[in-house]
Amino acid sequence: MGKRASWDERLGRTRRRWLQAFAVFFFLVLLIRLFSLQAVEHAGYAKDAEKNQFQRLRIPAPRGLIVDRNGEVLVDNVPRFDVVVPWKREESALMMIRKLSNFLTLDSTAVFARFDIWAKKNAGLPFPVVKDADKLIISAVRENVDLFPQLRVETRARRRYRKGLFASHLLGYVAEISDEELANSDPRDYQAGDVIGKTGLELYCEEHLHGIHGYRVVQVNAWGTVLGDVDGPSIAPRTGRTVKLTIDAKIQAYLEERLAREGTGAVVMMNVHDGAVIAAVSIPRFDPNSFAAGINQEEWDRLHNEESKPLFNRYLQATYPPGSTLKVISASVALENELVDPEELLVYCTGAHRFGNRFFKCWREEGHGWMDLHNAVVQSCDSYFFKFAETLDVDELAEAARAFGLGSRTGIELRGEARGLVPDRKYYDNKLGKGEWTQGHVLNNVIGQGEFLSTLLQMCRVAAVIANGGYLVSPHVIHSIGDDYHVVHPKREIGALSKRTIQFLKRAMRGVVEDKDGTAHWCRVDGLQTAGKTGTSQNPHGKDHAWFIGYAPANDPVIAIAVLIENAGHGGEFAAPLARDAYRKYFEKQLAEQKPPVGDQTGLAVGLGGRHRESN
Amino acid sequence: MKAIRDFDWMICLTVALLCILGLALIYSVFYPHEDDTVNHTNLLYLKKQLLWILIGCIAMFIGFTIPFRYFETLAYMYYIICVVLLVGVLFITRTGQAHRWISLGPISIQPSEFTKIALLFLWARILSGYTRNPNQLKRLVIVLGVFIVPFLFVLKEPDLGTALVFFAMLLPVLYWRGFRGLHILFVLSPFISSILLIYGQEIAQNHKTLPFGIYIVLILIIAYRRRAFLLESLLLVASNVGVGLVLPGLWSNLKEYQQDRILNFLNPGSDKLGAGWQVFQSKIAIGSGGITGKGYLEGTQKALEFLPAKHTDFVFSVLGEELGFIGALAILVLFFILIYKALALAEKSRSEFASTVCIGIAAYFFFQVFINVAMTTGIAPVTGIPLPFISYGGSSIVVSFFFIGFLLNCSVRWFEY
Repeated sequence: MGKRASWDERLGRTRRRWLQAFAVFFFLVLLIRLFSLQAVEHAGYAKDAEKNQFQRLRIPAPRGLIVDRNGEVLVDNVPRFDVVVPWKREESALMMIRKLSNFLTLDSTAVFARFDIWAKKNAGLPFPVVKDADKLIISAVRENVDLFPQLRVETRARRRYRKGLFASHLLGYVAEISDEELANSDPRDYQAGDVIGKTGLELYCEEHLHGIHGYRVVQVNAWGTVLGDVDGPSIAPRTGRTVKLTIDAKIQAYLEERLAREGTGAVVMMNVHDGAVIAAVSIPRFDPNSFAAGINQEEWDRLHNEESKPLFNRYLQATYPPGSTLKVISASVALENELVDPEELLVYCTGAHRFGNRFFKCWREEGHGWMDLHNAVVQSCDSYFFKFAETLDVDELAEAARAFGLGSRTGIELRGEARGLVPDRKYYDNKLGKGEWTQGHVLNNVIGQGEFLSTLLQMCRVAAVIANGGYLVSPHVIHSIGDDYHVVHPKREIGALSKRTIQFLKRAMRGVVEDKDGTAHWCRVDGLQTAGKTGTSQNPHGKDHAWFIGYAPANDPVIAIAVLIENAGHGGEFAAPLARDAYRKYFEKQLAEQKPPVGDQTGLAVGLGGRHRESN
Repeated sequence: MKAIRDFDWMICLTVALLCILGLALIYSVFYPHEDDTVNHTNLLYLKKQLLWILIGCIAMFIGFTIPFRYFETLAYMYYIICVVLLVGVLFITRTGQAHRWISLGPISIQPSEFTKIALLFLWARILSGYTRNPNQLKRLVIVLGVFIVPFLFVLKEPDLGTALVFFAMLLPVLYWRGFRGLHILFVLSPFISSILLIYGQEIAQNHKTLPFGIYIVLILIIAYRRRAFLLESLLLVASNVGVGLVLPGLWSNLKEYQQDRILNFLNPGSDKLGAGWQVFQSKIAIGSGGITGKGYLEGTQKALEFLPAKHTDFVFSVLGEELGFIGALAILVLFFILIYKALALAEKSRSEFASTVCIGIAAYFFFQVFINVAMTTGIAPVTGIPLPFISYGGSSIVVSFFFIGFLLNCSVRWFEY
């Protein structure tokens, strides 16, 4: 007995010690682990716990308004309701989405696909299951809180373009921010799913319209459910600034409707003294609301592939040969450089002009007869201009055109402005080779037909320059942003333009409308003296483009206008009447005060007389 | 009189402290959060836990008063009852839950918990006695047979954690009864090989075979030193090398999600949003507690529902968050006292049966505490093992109290054979 006990005792002691050592060792492992978590890495976990507990929720700043010069609101925001699921773990989010899409009979595959993209980009951010939900869905969700305790209905602002198609190229549109834009922006300003200005003023004024988001700190539980606000740092959002335009909504709307009846084209009307744009119309238009609501692929394709290119801004991005409207610049070159004597009957127009062994045709086949410079502008005689262009240096014309602002951007507050083209010696040398081009090119240029290209905005400014006595104004559409009025719009005097030349041009342009031989004579407005110049630019792709530039009143100019109607025909026949109607609309009050509203002879005559075939 | 003098008050005090701490934590877990209007359950759970402790005290009284030779006699019967209950539990269906519980009126019990007692008693009975050497193949086969039946049933429930506890209790018992270390190594080493191989495959990118290589070298050294037992040594080496040859092929045949599941099990912190979310949140709770903790009732992780199973398996996370390193240290010290006492009683007790049971009890407390704490701190797989006396839950508390009763029984009857 004693022997067994001693064997057992000895063995027992060793084994107990081994087991005890084993226990001590592993408890020490636990202690080391605990120490490393609670002492060494404590700070990091403390921060994690705080992050778990508190969440900074963004209070989105409402986007600024866009109003016209009279304060009429053109663009504002309306509330939009999103049903969102806060989530941390993918499985729980997927379960919730499946449940919800069954409940609301949504297309669950589409929602899952959207969630996949969302989860990759914004892990953990609340996912909008239903965007822009209607009342039915919202009440269904609200009434079933017990079924979907985690769901939140979030209010977001949707951009509303109050007048739909109105001034769509000018206002532009907002749409969901792209990955690229998101990568290049401050995460405090933009999150995935936010909207951002894509074109027009929405793009140009993005930083002002956007505003500054506010924040509040809330306590959340493990499922992302907000338990309540936390006292402490919270920042109120700052609404985006209101952008006030120089545009007059009434005139803009009128001109849009008026031009839309004619076909595709553009109209720009501006103040001759400071370049404030009163109306800027490009037809056809598009509805920016469809972008703001999240455009579908079909609509997108339609807008991009349609032949009439509704997204293309025809007064800003398009360039056209200026046609005979360029003759006002050609005439100024002739006068300034004393290439002709304005009193001299220089040419007998027979309908064509012979230069070397080539014939250059005047637009009027039967000819104009004897022409001096004044009549050459009024009747738009090409032969006269061909004659004096025989000795004209190409660079002299180019220089004058540049002085009038052609060939460079006007600097209006819109992206994508075209420069146009002013051909000079260097241009021809590069394009055709030195000595490979002839004076014949200059003959074409001088009537605005050759290589010249200009935008409507540039040509409207040309009219303004003559109207205001030789000052190159800066066209602009923004009147003020918020309380900030100190926007400088530089105005530069064109040095090489004498008072005498301007007087001559003014008289000639008035003659275009007021003289009975003028190409726009039948577009006179009773009680208002106006001035202008018609143009017809040949278009290799179809019918001629109809041009008209002008200003009114002729004796004390206020507004300048440029009209272009694509593939319409003669400028005097198609473009000038639109300018006439624009004047009538703009000077409505003054005209009404001058005479009783009954018996508007001119209007009647125009209405009955139909369209004269004589113009250019 | 002698018996009264030897009664181990220290064990009673330790258990009392643990129970009080457990009740305090349960109260804290269900302490209503200021913004939470739904929670009226805190007192309900507290009352239920108190009730379980009372039932536990009865169990302790039974374990304490009945002389342990009766337990030895009744071991087979009790074992058979437990196995029958384990079979029964598989046929009781509960929607969406594992088959672990049997309902008895208002309370439900887990037969697998009570099986721990049955296994210990039966092993102790089979292995006690001078001639009953576990190194004999026949003895070993009987012991393993007794083990494997409930082990498989519990695995089927499925309750991997409890099944592992059975295994963890078996090895020290065998060792205590004289099972050679080489044999224990033979049983354990293939598992270690597998884990090292999988780790090497997936985690050590540049040194895939390095951990396993080192391990094999160690095995070879041990085999050489024990070359007197030639057969065993050769088997040890062969089994490990065999695992090394077969496992990589098996592993690459598994589907990717299967591999992921195993890896997440072995390395629970790796997937923060999926399976590792619980562990990640638990680590945040413990880590943010710091040295002194956030203060009793002040925990934010538990208050905001970030902690899963915070009143049962993850109660230690609440402790770590609110009472910090000091609280965790205190708990580990208390448990170590229990383990130390159990080991000391095993050495002291003259009855081979009682001494073997004491070893099993020490192993039970050690393994439960170690796995639970390791799980909440992210160094062991999540297996659902409760912390004795602290975690909310009936059967576990009753069994723990019964074991304490048995230890106290030994402390006063240490001289009995």
